[in-house]
Amino acid sequence: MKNLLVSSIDEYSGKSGIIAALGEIFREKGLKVGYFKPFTTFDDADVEVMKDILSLEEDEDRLCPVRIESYAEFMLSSDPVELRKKVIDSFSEVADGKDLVFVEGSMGYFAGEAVGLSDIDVASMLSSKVLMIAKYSGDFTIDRLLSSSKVMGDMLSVINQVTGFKRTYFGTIASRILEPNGIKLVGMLPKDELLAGMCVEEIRKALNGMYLVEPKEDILIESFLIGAMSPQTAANYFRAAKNAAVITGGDRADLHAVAIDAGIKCLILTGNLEPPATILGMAEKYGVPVILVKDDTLTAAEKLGRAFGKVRIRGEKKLRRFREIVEHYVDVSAILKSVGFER
Amino acid sequence: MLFDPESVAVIGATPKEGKVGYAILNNLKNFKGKVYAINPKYREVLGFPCYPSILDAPEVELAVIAVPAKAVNPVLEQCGEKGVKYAVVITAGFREAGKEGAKLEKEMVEICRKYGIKLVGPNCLGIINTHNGLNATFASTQPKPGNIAFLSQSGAFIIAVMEYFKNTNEGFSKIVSMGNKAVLDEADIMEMLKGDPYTDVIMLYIEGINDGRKFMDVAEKVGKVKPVVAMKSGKTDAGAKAASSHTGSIAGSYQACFAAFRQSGVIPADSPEDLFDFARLLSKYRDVGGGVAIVTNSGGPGVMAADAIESYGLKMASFSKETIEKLREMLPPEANIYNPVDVLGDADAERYVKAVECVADDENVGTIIAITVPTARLSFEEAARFRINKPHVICFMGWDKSDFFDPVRAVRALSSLYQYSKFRRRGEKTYREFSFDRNRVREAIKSINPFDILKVIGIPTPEYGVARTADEALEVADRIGYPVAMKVLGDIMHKTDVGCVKLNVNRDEVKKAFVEIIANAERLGDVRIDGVLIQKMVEGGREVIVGMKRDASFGPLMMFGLGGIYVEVFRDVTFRIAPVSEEDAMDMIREVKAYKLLKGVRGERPSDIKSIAEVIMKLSQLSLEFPEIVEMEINPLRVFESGCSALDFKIRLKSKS
Repeated sequence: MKNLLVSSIDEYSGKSGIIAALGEIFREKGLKVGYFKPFTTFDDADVEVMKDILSLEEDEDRLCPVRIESYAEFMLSSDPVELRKKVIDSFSEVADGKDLVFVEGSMGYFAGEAVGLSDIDVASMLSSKVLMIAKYSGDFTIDRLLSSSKVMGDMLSVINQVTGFKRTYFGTIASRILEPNGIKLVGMLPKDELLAGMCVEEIRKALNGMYLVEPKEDILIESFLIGAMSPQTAANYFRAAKNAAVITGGDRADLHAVAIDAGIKCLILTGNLEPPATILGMAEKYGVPVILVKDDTLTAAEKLGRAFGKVRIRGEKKLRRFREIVEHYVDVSAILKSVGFER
Repeated sequence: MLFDPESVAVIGATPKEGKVGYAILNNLKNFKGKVYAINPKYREVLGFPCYPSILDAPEVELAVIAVPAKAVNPVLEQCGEKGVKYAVVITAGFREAGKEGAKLEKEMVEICRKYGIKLVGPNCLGIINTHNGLNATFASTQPKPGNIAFLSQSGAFIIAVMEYFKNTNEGFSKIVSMGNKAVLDEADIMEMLKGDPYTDVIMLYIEGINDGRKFMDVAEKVGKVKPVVAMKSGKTDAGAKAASSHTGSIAGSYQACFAAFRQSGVIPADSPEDLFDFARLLSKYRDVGGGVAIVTNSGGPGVMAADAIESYGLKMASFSKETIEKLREMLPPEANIYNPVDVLGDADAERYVKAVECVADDENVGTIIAITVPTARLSFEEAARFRINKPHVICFMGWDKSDFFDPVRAVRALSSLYQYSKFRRRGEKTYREFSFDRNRVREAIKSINPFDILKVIGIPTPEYGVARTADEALEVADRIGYPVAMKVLGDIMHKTDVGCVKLNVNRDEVKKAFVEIIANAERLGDVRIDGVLIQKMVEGGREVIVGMKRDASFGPLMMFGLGGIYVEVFRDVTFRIAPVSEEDAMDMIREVKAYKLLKGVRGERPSDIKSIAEVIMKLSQLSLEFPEIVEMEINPLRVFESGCSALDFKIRLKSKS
């Protein structure tokens, strides 16, 4: 049995998505794949989701032995020796009969340090190979990656959300700077709007709004636009947007009409102002969901912006898309080879 | 036929006065065909036989439906089973009333499709044919028969206009209240009226056009036979907002609508007053040629009219030698015998009438504006007794039977006549077809560099290349030759303002410029940066702009104007709907004020106008062949004595979802 610790520099870097995609690919290659997340918070749904995706039989508290509520309290009350034993025991149960177990790290490779359960500890505990996911957030991401390898040793790495001309630079940086420092770059994933998308119901929840027109199907919203300009100007922005929602005042019937006509996928009306009946009639006709929110346009946009930053790779559409991206941009056989499956 | 049914059934007819079902039936009393009432509660209403349902009635050609919204579709379904071909749904409470209503309207459209029912409305006043007494409306006025057809998206406006026309003693041939246009729209009705012998002019009041292309095609065909005059509201943002609330109309740009009107020969009216003035005049006259002659007994109003003639783009007629001689003989020596002819304030009616008739005989004169003010020696009644057979308007200031009081308004009305005449005489247009390699265009659209598209469709550009690193930048620039222009590629707006464009860059500055551009772009935060475009610098020439914006109702709207950094300031631009013909393209160039610059000022050599026209036509064709292009703009297009070159090109695409 081999194991691969998928760790990350930060939260929301795309670990779960990469495990789901790699897990599926490896299973199709005939490997028995397991999943283990030693340490996380009580509200993390990753384990439940992964159990479903990878069709795992083990109980959730085996797949994830340590779940915490208040970390400060936990630091003081827990016994590191016991925790360590719990993790090792659970892991050997989960690993039983598997060819490869994906071990998912926690909120960042350092999280859990205080109780001896950081990814650094887990890697040495389970003698894991490490795949470090770094979400690109500027060129200094490279430094953070180098720092992580100083404490974790040789590693594979995937840089997530790199687009445009930077890919050319990073290609050269990988061979000149990363590789001599023990980091093998096995993939650079581009930004993808679909993956960053939210479904209409998630949006409604995030904004605490109510439906004036309910969604007819599961529509994925990839971006949002604020409608505050003249309808003629807005029309061009709206039409160019892909799977977008428009946030605008409930009293801007002109923009509502233009937005619906331009193929906008969801209307978010602010200020608790209901639009004229003609607009709801149009929205119904074209199947555009309409959400009424109490906030003003600016507040609603801020809230939605924050929600978009924490989007997870969930649902069939996104998983399928993420897998396509992983297959296209990640050197899957290099990963297989590094954990010891020569092909 | 919708307007000539043999039999009409009013579904929801009632003897209760004050109800819509009563008013409609009452208005049908003068109808020359059969009328049936449909209502399960009665055997007879207002003297018409009444049946429990349409299925129980004899054969019906037109059903007028005025039952509550929820009951409309079941009744319509029965009409379909009965074989009724035309329906007018008066009932409101559909798309305009919210989502429940929208569902009902969707069902309504499906029923109509299933049975092939042609339906006017819902949410409308009804329809009128004055020539057979068909008044299927709940209006309280009976309009007089006339030769103007009136289609309106506002029912209330129809009532107001009928009242107004009653006072001016004029009439209509047909009136249609369009309502929600669920099935039939203005274009369908115009098509029906094209061959209608009772209709000489079609007058439209429109808030929104759903299918702009169809509207243009039909309007052009109909316009060749009879004039179409239209007032489109929602010109301003405030108006557009009101129109969206009123009928759910989409604010397609007024520019697009105006361009569409011009291209398809529809005479645009700015106000109800213009609408009526134009329609009235066009209901009397069709063809005009020659200039405008003014005959007046007072200088001031004559000058006003002459001013207006020039500002509306009309021409003052110059009289023939013969006419001038005749006028000299018949008028006192102090009179003005040239256009505008002033017969002087002491003229009696006889002198005035003679002068008008003399001027009208001149072959250079196309139309006449007869202006008088009341004097002790001239009575309006007598002065109006001239006999001429050329188009004319009477502007007897203060007379209750005068066409106009205001000479300026009279000229504006005349200008509609000239516009229509010009449209009727317009020759066939030449549409050039360029052979684009569609696969290569598609590839170019996907590429990160929009200039590839121009290259593929044969629009000249300065030599260029793309760099992703500073080293690459130097390689590319070395290949192109110095100096170069460098600009960021990616989804960044107003590149120049954010320091992402460098001009006149020499070899020793290329790498530094690359880094600066990228750094400035990255400072903007979450933007996509694909690299840096490097182009050869181009000197000389005039800057123009050619662009396209896709309009919600009319499709690609092509734009041409003075280019460069002054575009926003001067707004010297003109528009056409694609496809743009060769004639349209040349007209666009001639229409802008900057045309004078392009022709060359003070001995400058003229710019290559034909090369601009070709660029306009190529972008027009591109936008029609590739509907995923939402917006694009070449700004500036540098035009030289021979040829032109696109220095910057922006494109916005609709992503496939």
